[in-house]
Amino acid sequence: MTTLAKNTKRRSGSTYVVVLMLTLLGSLAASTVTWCVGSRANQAYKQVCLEQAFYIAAAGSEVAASNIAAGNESSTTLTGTVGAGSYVAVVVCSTLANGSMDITITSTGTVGGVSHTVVLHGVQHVTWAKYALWYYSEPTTLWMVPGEYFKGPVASKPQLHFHNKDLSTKGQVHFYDKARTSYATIEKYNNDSAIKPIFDFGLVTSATIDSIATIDFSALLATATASGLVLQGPTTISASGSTLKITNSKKGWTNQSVSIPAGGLIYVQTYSTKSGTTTTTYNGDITLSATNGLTGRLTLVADNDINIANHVRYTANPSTDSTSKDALGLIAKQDVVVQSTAPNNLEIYAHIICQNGGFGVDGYSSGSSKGTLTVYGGIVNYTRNAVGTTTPTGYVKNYIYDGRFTKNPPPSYPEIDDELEWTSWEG
Amino acid sequence: MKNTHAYWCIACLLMGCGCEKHENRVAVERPTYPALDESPPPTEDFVFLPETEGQNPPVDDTHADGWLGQQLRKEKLIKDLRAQAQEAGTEHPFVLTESEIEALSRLDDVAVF
Repeated sequence: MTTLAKNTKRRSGSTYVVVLMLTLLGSLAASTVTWCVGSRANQAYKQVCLEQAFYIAAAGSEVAASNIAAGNESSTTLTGTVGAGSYVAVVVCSTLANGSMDITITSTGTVGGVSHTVVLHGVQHVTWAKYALWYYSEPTTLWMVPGEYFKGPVASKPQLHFHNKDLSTKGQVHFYDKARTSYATIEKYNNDSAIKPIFDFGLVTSATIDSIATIDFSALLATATASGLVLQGPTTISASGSTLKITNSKKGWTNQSVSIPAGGLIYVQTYSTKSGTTTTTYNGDITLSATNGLTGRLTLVADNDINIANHVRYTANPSTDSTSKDALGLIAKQDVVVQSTAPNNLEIYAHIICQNGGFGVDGYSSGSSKGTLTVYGGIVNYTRNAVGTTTPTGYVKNYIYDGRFTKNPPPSYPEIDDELEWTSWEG
Repeated sequence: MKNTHAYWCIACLLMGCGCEKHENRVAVERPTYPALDESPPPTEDFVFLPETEGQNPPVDDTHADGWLGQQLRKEKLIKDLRAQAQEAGTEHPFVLTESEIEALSRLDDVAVF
């Protein structure tokens, strides 16, 4: 009986120890689980905050970009709150050697003590010089012929028409950059299935097209008045190096030597005189040539037409000299006309804008073929006009986009409303 | 009997471990958001189509081909050029004279670019 009691007590004691051990182990396991859950929850919370901070930083950079798009191009700091967080966007503006503005946006978003920063380098307005070809209308069906290629963006309101002339030898029309048309379809000459234009970035059909009606000539005139040169009436400009020979009867100039103005902008106005009841209007026309090449950066603006009388070249040809800084912009309210007396195999190195008219060749359907028309730059015109026929008459097109103009357009080049771009993005 | 007590102890300890001091919940005013706009999205400004689609955009094949297509294209060209001359006036540098338009109309197959 005594032995039995002893055995029972011993058994109870060992059970107690086992229970204690199990209790300890259980407590340890529970604590570990609690710690793990807490740690994970904390990590998840921080991750959520980090993501929120990223979006808030992005929102801050967009606020800063809108501020710049509204014309506030000066260094500033913008702050604000979005939901549970806040942002601080620092805008730093500096003027580069070429006169263009370099803008950096650094935006930091903070949520729950967690911050994230995004940086946009090289923020700038996008100008019309970004287009290799832009047109809003055409007087008749104008064909794109084999061998044509576009290394910059192309946009058209009318349908794109593709011809098959010399397709086997010249190759397909090639769009290396974005292409868009308001039309829903393209047209192939004679429904020829061999015509297969190449769109590296696809063709956006039924697209909306920007309007060049917003190009502000009064702002260009104000800039030319402040830091350029303003002339009135028909004007002939012949550029050779950095010197311009200008003939303008209102000024009494005949081959007057003039340096490129500091602002790089020359504006030629239309003006009227009144004698008795007779009003005489003198159009703001420019007749241009630069056979020996232009040195420097210049934009010519005409209230009416710009007539191309001869080759318009740069001193340093950007197609062979990557260091070339020469740049020319031609902005006409009406047309940029290649005159019928212009030489064969004409070269025009410039970016061209025709707000209400178009770029084209006078007498494109008569005479014999005039060889190749090289336009090294880009063409933005309301109405695309003909330069030749398949007969053949006029010129064969050789349009090459000047890629330098995406980052560094000619002076005072008109900007596309509400469109900014940046060279790099960190975050 | 003692085992039962021990199990009760473990249960109580475990429950005790789960209890912790918490702050009282404070009622937070929830923000109000405008109703979800379920209208169709606006036309995309820049939509990059897949390359295969981009290479083969829709083709307008409603035009006649062959001889009939050639005649219809020429007819349209001459009509458009005359309309342009009427609208812009014969002094305009890109407008063809009636004799130039007539000369084009005599050609079998002509296209302008």
